[in-house]
Amino acid sequence: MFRRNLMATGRLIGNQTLTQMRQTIYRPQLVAFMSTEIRKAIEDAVSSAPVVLFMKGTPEFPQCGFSKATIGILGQQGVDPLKFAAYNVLEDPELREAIKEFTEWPTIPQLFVNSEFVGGCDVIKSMAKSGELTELLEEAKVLVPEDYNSEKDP
Amino acid sequence: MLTEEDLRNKISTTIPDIYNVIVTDLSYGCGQSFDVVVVSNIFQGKNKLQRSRLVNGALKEEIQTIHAFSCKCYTEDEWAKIVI
Repeated sequence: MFRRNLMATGRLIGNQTLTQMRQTIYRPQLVAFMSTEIRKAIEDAVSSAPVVLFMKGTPEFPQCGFSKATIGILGQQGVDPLKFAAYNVLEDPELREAIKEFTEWPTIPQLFVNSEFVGGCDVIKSMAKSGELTELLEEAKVLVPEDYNSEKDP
Repeated sequence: MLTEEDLRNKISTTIPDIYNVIVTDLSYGCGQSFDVVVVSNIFQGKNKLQRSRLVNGALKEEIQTIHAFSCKCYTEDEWAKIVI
């Protein structure tokens, strides 16, 4: 149940490319403004949901082992699908390069919680193991409430 | 093409206070996928993100050219608990 929700939400938002986002937000501008424009588009993407993952592939079809592992961890932690968005960098070469520059982090996936960069796959794995990730997600109030199922299926 | 040796040397010369560096080539020969473990007390008091940033910084050019890169960072105390 939760898993399907997570996937559906991810697909919904994940299929919107950065370029499409920009087109909906911005009128075409001069090339000279591109860099600021991309930065702004990334900031918008980062804050588009409480939990945002930039990944290779989509949550239901990750196209890289590291992205797959990260999605798995977020599912196990119980991240609320309604508070989650995924962006597929393989659909958007511009996003793929820009996000690396934005965080000064060389690899994908990249996880953001409340617009704050948390880390890549290794960082998330080891935070999950030590319990720090649960703490962070609890504090950010992005986990599915514990009575979620009883509410839905009385 | 990058080798385990290249990465090991770069890390050892860039990151201070190195106790151990383990580089494993997981690429089956194409040199595109590496797993790295770095043990140094420079990581003391730093969180996982800050630790990884140190290693990413040391291997900036190398990481750009390869496909997959995984990195774990430990202090000597943390490492002692793992290897025992």
